[in-house]
Formats: sequence, structure tokens, C-alpha cells
Amino acid sequence: MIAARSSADNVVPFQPLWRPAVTLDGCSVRRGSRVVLREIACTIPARAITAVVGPSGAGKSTFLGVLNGLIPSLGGAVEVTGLGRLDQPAVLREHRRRTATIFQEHALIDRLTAMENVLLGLADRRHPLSLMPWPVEHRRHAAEALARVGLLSRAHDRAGRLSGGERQRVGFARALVRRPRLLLADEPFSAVDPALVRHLGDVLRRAVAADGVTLVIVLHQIELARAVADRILGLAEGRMRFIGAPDEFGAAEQARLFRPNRRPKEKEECHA
Amino acid sequence: MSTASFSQDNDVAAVLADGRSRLLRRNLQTAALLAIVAASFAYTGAFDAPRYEDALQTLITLAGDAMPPDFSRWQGWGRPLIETAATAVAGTALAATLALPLGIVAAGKWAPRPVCLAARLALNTARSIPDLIWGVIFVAAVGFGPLPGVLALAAHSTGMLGKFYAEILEHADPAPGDALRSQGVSRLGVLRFAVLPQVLPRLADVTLYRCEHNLRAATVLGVIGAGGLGQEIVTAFHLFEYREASALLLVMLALVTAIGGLSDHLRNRFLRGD
Repeated sequence: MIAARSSADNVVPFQPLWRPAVTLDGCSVRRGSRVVLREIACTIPARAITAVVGPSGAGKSTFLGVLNGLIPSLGGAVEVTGLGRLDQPAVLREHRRRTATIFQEHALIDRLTAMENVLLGLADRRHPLSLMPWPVEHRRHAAEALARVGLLSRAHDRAGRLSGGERQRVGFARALVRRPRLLLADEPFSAVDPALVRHLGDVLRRAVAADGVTLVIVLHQIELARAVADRILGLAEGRMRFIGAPDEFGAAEQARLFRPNRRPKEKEECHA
Repeated sequence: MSTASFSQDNDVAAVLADGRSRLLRRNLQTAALLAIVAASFAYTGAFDAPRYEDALQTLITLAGDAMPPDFSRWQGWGRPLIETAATAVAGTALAATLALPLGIVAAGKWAPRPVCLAARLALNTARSIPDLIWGVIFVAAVGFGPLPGVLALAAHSTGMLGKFYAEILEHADPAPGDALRSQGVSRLGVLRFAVLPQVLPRLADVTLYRCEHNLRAATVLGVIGAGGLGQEIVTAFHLFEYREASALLLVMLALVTAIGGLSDHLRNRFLRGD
């Protein structure tokens, strides 16, 4: 393979031809009177790492919410390759079955043990009214997921007693246990020390390389985004300001994306 | 620059003026509340001094007549004691069983609006009828003894617990539930796997607290023929056996304290976890 063309005409060497896993076209999201995302159009390449960067409040978490269907988009379409549009209930159901999300605030239940929290990643595989304990098979998967993030020794500790970094790892394991095709991660390294960032980064990279996972990761560490991502999406004020390869996201692009917004009523400038 | 600082001064002045009007409003609210409290005392005759003239003397005489407590008939109290405790436990358990589904429906997230409103109305009705009235109704329906007591406590406590349960369920952290929704778990599944595990200690907490309350309420129900210690106490009073009545009250106190201690212990265990 020599080069591949993505929808944004970015030439990226040494990559197989990317197929879109998810395509967004004209998606907007409103919270009250505030527009959080405006007319987002982009593709998420399959089996690759897409990093979403931008200043805080840019709409990055909302973007992930649109991808996992937690936040419905106003107008526009989210199309999952091979399934169809997310506004169809059957498509949404199947899409969610294949998707896992790592949340910024972990979204764990403090009372439950690390193991029980990870098992919640499989809650859609059980009947909600079943009084049976979790099947052995599920428990084994959960233990394996905890082992992947190096937290097996604390499997039976309550999540509330774990440190911030350990909680984040439980969140990782809860997503990994689903063996997702699409993995969404919202600032997954925010509470994690540098050594662990490397370890967890490896876990994610392995998931993409070996298991063919499509990863969309919101990062505030720009250097990390450049290092790990195959594609960078730059969001600011709810608009997609940059789509391209990491080596195209230079200091100038970064400065433009993170430029403080002094005059909110100023007319829109062109994208990068 | 000068226009900028001028507009900032204006903003500061506006915030300060707003603060003053908030303070005034809060003072008016406090004054209104105090007026309601004072009016309530006045209306019920609490400020009517002559009413208190003989009160202290009577209380002292009564206390003197009740001393020392007379435990001589203690052998006969075991059964009513157990009856009262059993009434409270069974009434609370029945109430919790009914209140959980009603509370879930009333919480509003797991049922259509009309069903939710119907559940709220049912809970309000059950709650607004005092357990003593429920007791009279159930004595008529199933006869004397502890059983009408159980049913009466269950009816009133369902109303109370259902309301508490609904509030607790509504205030659960939505983040773990959203996490499950994002992976395709149904609403019922979110309730089962994300909401209930979070709130279980608080549900247990209010239920145990209610059980303590029902222990005292079960005693009062004895007055209308629903058995237990209450009936013994009322009988003693009617026979002017004040010393026996005071002994029974001490037994009651011991029972309530013991159950209260037990439920404190259980609640701490639940809330602390392990």
C-alpha cells in the first residue's frame, strides 16, 4: 500500500485503505439555546485511531455522545458502515451492542467491586430481571479484562476505595470486556500517571492493531494525540476546524485551534 | 478603556443591587415563617397562661403514683411484646414489598406519565390516611389481634416508603446508567444494573428507619384493639394501675432502644459497606 485517500483528501503513507466506520453528515446538537455542535461532517476511519482535540467546551464529549447514540443529533445523519443510519432503532440497538465507551468521570458504581463494575459492561447480554448470579463465562471475561489493565489483584475491592487512576482502569476494563468494534474514550488518561499512560496506551493500540477495533479518543494531551493517532479531528466552538493526519497538525494549526476566543460575535473564519 | 471600566462598574452595581433585593426577600420569607409559627401556637391555646396553672402539680402527682414501676406481672408481657415486634416487622416488610414497584413507577423514569401519576396518587392516599384510621378499617375487616395492625402499618407505610423510594431513585447518579444506555441496555436493565445497586443502602436505610417507627406505631395501634403492648398499657391506665403502666413504658423503651440500636448497626453496615 502506498497511500490512502480519506474524505478530507489527506495523504497518509503506509496505511491500508481506510474504510469509514462511521460517517457524520451535517450533525448539530443543541443544549437549551446553546448550539454545542454545528453541522459536523467527518468520517471515522475503521480499524484506526482517531484523536479528537480542541479547547475545553469545544463539544468533544458531545461528539462522542453522538457517536454512541446517547445524544441525538438535530438534523444530519450518523451512518454506521454496514448497519445504516443511527436514527433507526434497530440500527441503534445493533450499533450499541458493538460499541463501548470509556467515560471521563469513569461512571462507576462506588459500592460495587471492580469486578462487578466490569461485569456491567456485559449487562446487555443478560435479562434485566434475571436473579441468577453472573455466568461463569462472563466472570472469566471480566477477570481477563481486569488483567489486561493490570488490576486483577484488586478485583474484589470496592470501586469507591480505588484511586483515580485505578478507577479509570476499571472503566477501561468495563469497555474492553465488551470486545467492541467501536471504542470511544473520553479523556481516558486524565487521572493517570505517565507510566500508566504508556501501559494503557499500549492496551488501546493492541486492541486496534490485533482486534481490529476502531478507536475514537478525546485527548487534551496534544503530543500524545500526535504520537498515537492515525487521524486528528480538531473541534472548537462546536465546529470541526481540522481534519487530517497527525503530521499535518503542526504548531500553527494547534495555535489556531486553541486560540482564545476574544470576540464571540466575530464572523466565522475558514477552516484549517 | 474608560467605557469598558464604566460598563464594569455598572455590572458590579447591578450585582450588588440584586444581592440587596435577595436579602430583603429572604428576610420577608423568614418573617412570614415566624408569623405562621406564632399564629399556630396562639390558635392552639399555647399562650393561654391559666391553662398551665395546675399542670405541673398534676404531672408530679401522676409521676408519684407511677413510682416505683411495678414489674410483678412481667410473665404476662412476653406475648404482647413479641406481638408488637412481629406486627412492626411484618407490616414494614409488606409495605416495602408494595412500595418498591410503586416507587419505581412513581419515580417517573420507568413508566408512562399517566401510570406514574396514578401511582403517586395511590401513594399520597395511602399516606394521608393515618395508620390509626387504617387500623379501625382493618379491625372491622379482619377482626381483632395483631393482623389488622400488620395491614394498617403496611397501608400507611407503603405510602411513606413509596414516596421515599421514588425520591431516592430519582436522585441516583445518572452517569453509570448512561454508560449502560450507551451500550444498549434497556431502561429496565439500567434500573436493575445501575440504579438499584447505587441506591440499595439508602432504600435499606429508610426501610429500617420505618421499621423503628412502626414499632412505636404498633404500640399505639394496641389502643384500638390491634393487640400487643399498647393494649396492655391502655388497660393498665384504665385500671389506674399507673405503676404497672410505667413498668410497661420502660419495657417499651427497652424494646425501642434495642431495635433502634440493631437498625443503627445494620444501617451503618449497609452505608459503610463491609
